[in-house]
Amino acid sequence: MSTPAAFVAPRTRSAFDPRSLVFWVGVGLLIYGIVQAGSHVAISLLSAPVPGAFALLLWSGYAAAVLALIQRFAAFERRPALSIAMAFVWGGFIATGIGTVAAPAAHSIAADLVGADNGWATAIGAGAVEEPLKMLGLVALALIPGARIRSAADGLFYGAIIGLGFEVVESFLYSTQWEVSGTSFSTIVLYLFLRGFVGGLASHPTYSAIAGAGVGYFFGSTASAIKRWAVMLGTLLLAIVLHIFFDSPLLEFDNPLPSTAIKSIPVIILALIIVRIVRGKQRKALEAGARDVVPDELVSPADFESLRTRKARKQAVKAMKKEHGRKAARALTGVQRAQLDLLVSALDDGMESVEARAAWQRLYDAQQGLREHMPTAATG
Amino acid sequence: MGDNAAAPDGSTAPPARSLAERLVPAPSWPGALLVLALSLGLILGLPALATTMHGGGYPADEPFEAAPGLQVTVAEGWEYDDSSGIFYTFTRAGATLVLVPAVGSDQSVEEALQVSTDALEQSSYLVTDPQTFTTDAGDSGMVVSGHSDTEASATWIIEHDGGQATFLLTGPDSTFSETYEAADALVQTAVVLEVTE
Repeated sequence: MSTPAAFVAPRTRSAFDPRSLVFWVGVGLLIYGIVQAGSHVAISLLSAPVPGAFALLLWSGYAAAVLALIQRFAAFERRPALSIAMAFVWGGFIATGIGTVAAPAAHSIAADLVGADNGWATAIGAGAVEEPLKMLGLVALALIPGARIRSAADGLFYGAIIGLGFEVVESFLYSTQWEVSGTSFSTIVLYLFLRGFVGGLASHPTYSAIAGAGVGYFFGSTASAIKRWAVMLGTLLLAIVLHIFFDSPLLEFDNPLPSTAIKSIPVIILALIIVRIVRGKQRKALEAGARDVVPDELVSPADFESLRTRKARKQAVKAMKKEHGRKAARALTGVQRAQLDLLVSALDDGMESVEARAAWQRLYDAQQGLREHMPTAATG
Repeated sequence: MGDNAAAPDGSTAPPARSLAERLVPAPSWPGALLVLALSLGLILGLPALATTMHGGGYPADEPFEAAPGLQVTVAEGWEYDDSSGIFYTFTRAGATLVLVPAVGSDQSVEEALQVSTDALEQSSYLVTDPQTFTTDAGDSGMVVSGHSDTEASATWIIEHDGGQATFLLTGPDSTFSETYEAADALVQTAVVLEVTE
């Protein structure tokens, strides 16, 4: 979301824009990534089909669950499925594909700098190349206007999706190195536990979300160039440092579980601080939208007070249910969703845009539905 | 919404636009070029830099005695170090492969490998079942590997004429698939020239 004054609607509704050369560079890199990483996925599945399919099922379920969690955190804004899929594909195939070449090179360079038997070489090699690689995907998406990466919140969201794609495909490949790990089902489950849950909260989605917030700010802010560059490079550096810290030999015990858990703490705390800052800015932008862009009869500043937080929205729905019943409560949920969609569309593309008009229509329909269930009350 | 300052003639400056908004009507080729250049830098530039920094230190793709009585044929991409005169190591992508020359042993390969398995399990690694293999020279051997959340390790033991040569690989989990494959190819070429009693 940008300043309410500037309304320029992109030509597409998502990052899928075949008229953009960035899109076609992405397609080329995807082919490269599929050759590099996708071939390993195919070999894993073909050489041991049953455990391979089992691993695929487990990691797909994990991806779906984490995606739902990320979507829940991004409740203000519903983003196009195509853009989300493209972000996931960058992380899953392009970043991992390039990583098969770049990561060993980075490890070699780091080993030359700090010594091959130094545990920091591993950590530096991974963090220094994987974070910029994932961030590059977000930059590519942001360069396609239809992706609408116009705020730190957008960057944070898509950064997390790119990181999720990277983590899922990388972890699938780890757990299906049959020649190394064998084809045991219990090993596959243990991998999911170790990489998905024990280290999951302080892993690729978290690092990429942090760097992504900086990219979103860079593309969406009207602040000075120096400030925008400083924020973007600063968040990238923070993501790299956190990644290196997490992989470093610091706080290593014989049992990796407590070590992983302890190292997760500062990563999660920093990530939550950034999420809080980003959401605060997003709320302010939406508040300004309710005040200055969207007509009060559609979303007034008073309406926004009940939209401001998930808790406020739930409370309003609960009160509606108590007063007018379940159907009215469900209708109010629809009104709230349509109001948020309208605010986001109006700020992104202007009140006259196709997206805002569609959201306006949905709001009108939702308000009509609400009136049917509470005929004597005002519907906001 | 920002307030625009009025000029002396009463006109106002145009509202500031973010890069995202300025990109909407702009041509896409500069962005495409940027993404392509950065990607090529990672795909081609970084490995080239790594190769330049590495000396190698061994004759690539030619048989050579990497440890006393132990000959291997190694593709490019490793860095060899025998400077200590005690340890003979190859490093690659943050992983280290240690070669232990063949020594006579009363233990079976299974028993010798169990020592590695126990050590890995004590460090809470996920350890695989041992697997058998045969080198290009016809010697039989066994391999076992293990993973922690960030590290991985594999041990190959080759049996030849009453002696056992050992190859120990340790390295980061993130590149282990690639380094394991390269190390496995190296072990396949091993020829035991001499067994020390």
